[in-house]
Amino acid sequence: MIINARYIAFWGCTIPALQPYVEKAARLVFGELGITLAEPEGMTCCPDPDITHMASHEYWLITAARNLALAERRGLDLMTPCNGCFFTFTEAISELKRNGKKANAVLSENFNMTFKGKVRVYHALEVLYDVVGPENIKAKFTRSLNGLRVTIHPGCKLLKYEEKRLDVKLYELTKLTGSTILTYGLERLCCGVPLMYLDADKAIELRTKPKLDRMKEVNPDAIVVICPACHNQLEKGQLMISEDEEYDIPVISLLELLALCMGFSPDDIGMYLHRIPADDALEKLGLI
Amino acid sequence: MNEIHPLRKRFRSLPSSFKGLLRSELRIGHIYELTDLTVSDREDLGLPSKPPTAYSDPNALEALKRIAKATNLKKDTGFDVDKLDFEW
Repeated sequence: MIINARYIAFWGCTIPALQPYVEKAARLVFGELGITLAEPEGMTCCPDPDITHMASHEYWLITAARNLALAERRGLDLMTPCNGCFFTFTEAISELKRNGKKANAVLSENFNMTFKGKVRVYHALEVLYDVVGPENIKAKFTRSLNGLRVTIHPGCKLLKYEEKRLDVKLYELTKLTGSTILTYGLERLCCGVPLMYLDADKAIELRTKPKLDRMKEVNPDAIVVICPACHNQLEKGQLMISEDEEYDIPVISLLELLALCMGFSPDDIGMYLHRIPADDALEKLGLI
Repeated sequence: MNEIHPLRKRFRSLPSSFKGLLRSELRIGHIYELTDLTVSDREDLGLPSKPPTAYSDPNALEALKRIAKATNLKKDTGFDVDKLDFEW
């Protein structure tokens, strides 16, 4: 298998600052698969698809346009493992192609560049599933996670693009690791992140807690996610509710599971940094 | 309030939770700060201490401020780019 692909890895804000183990796992996995990741030099927050998007649509759009134009200038496409960044860039590209006049005027006047509409943005799941392919990924596995029972939380922004079937790709790639996927009935419920900005208590009560409660009923070893914001929320939610209810369900990125399957150790990935320790799950797999 | 949209409230200022996020974006170029502890964790993992984005590139941060001025962010949100804080 020779995959000669190169992308700018757009990590966003949450992964570098709160989940360096996800960045590490991604770099290990894509490295094993022969995908070269270029650094997001000179870029900024995508910007975030909820608050900034609502507070000032124009600022949101032009900031996204600048990041996209920087990628275009290097002749590279973007790849992001963040559902929020993927949403921002996908929506921004669509809007800029329809009407990018004002954005290009600002970019041209301030930064001597324009958005030309050539750059493509891929979710990490698309690169893994469509560019590399499950069989080529499996060829790199040296161990199976057989015996690990997981629930999956896809995240709203992953579900938005039905035609891309990103949620199916998340399920298929999780299945590839040998893990058993447990259904809990609230897979499509939002984790609560956007509501947190308006009312944190309500977000936990109406989104995060019902989801965690249903997951707890099926007794998973871990929650599998790809979205860093959902990852953060499902951990934070458990810690916020912990006075009334104990969950202790580690939240693990699909990229970490793939890295484990490729033979990397939990310490190579930095899994000791998880806020909710994954030790029980790793012990069950004989990895610690 | 107007006759076409009788329930529309007059906009005064952003909710404080919105302000925190936007303030971070314009102050550091990202919504989460990279703490010394995270930098140390990143180094332990062999990752670049700080990504080559606005986290470590002052030009990238400056670019956000220029976009904020060019789009008159203050009019929409009350954020004063020179003071790096909200006026209202």
